Amino acid sequence: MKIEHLNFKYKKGDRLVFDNLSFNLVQGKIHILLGRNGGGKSTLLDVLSGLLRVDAVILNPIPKNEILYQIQGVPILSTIKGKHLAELILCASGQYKSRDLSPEMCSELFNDHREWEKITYLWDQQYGKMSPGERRWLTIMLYCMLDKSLYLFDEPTAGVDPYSGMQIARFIRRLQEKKGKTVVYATHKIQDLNGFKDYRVLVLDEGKIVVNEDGQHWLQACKKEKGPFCKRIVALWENSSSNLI
Amino acid sequence: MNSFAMIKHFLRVLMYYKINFIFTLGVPVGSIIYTMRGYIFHMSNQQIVQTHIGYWISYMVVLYAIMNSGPSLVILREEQFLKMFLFISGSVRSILCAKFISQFLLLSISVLILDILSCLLFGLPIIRLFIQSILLIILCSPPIFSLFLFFAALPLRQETITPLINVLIFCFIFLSVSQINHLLIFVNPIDYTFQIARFLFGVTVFHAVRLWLPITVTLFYLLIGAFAVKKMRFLPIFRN
Repeated sequence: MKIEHLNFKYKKGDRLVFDNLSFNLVQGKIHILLGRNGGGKSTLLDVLSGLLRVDAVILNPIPKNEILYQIQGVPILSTIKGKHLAELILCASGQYKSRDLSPEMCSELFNDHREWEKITYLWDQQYGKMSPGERRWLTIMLYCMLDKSLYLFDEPTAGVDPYSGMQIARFIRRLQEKKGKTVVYATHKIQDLNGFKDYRVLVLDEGKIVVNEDGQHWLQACKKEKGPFCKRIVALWENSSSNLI
Repeated sequence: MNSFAMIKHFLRVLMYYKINFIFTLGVPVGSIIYTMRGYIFHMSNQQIVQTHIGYWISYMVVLYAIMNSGPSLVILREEQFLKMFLFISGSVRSILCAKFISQFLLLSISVLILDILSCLLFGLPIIRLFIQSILLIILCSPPIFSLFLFFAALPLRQETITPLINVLIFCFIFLSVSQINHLLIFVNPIDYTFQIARFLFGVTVFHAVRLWLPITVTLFYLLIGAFAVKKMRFLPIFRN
């Protein structure tokens, strides 16, 4: 999928959200989209999903039924249990049957017994009684069980503790490693990069993709940029003591 | 069928908001008991009672449709639920189908309760009344649900939609009670359903010439629904 010459501003806004933005998605790669709050990350995901109509040139667009789009903070009925949420997400996709659902079916995603205990506990827990981090962990785990071509994640680790954040990153990484799926992962947290091995970094700043490089070269590319956001990213990354996977 | 999980979910949501269930069933039951109190446990004047029941079933059909069709989709859109499930299910049709079936099931249960109560109080034949009622909701619920889908195509906010449907319901009741003009059934779905109810309950006979009006209105409502689905918005207004 390739986007060329994307210019966009909201009808009621004066600010140009995208200014002649161009980039392409590499099939089978995880794309970490870094950008500041309000910088247009979610809007760019809306463009990629085809929900927002723009006058840019979009080559090889992916049909909506082949996309999975994780959205921040969608309210769900508080009285439903984890298993009901699993039924809603997995069965609504048409890829699972209600009678096949159980915590065991998620076991292939897990590395240790703590994750197994967590899903068993959340399976019968009411959604309203789960912490925001638990809700997000469960929801993203369920999303990662669905079979689509393109996965769009909008701040998947917001409000999640670092340990659960690493688990979420592992679920997403598995989509690429085991299934060769294309992922776009929007975040403003540079430490999220620690959860991935084979990825590309896209830095969205001032309405443009100013950096579009793989995991080995993105830092050098970022250092060449003069914008304050790139400088801040570089400083944060270099000061981070735990940037190893 | 990937709508089944969503039907279950929407039914859970509908049952969670019990006050709506009480409002849609309680108002008709209360009104029927109050206005028909002279006929309670009397077998006479079944047609008057049946007309009254037909009117309140029409009210229930419209209320369920207005609460679960376009206005409900506006709320789901603003909460981003619509956007999320558009991608999970892969099509808007399965969401609409789940919305319609869930409201239809609950409407059928409400109507069944109303029928049983009416039969106990007024000595009406239960099987006949239930068949007539189910026929009425099968005929009228789809086009009216379709009509109210037009809300989902409008740039309305969540805060605007609830007071708007409250006002609309009162307007519909007022128009149906005042019976100003037959052509009002184009704009008043209570009138439309009530006219079909009167025919099904044997109160009036539709001549071939007069049949064109409900058929035209049905097609008109379905056409509005089809147009609304094409123009439906999925991105919340607050982001635009």
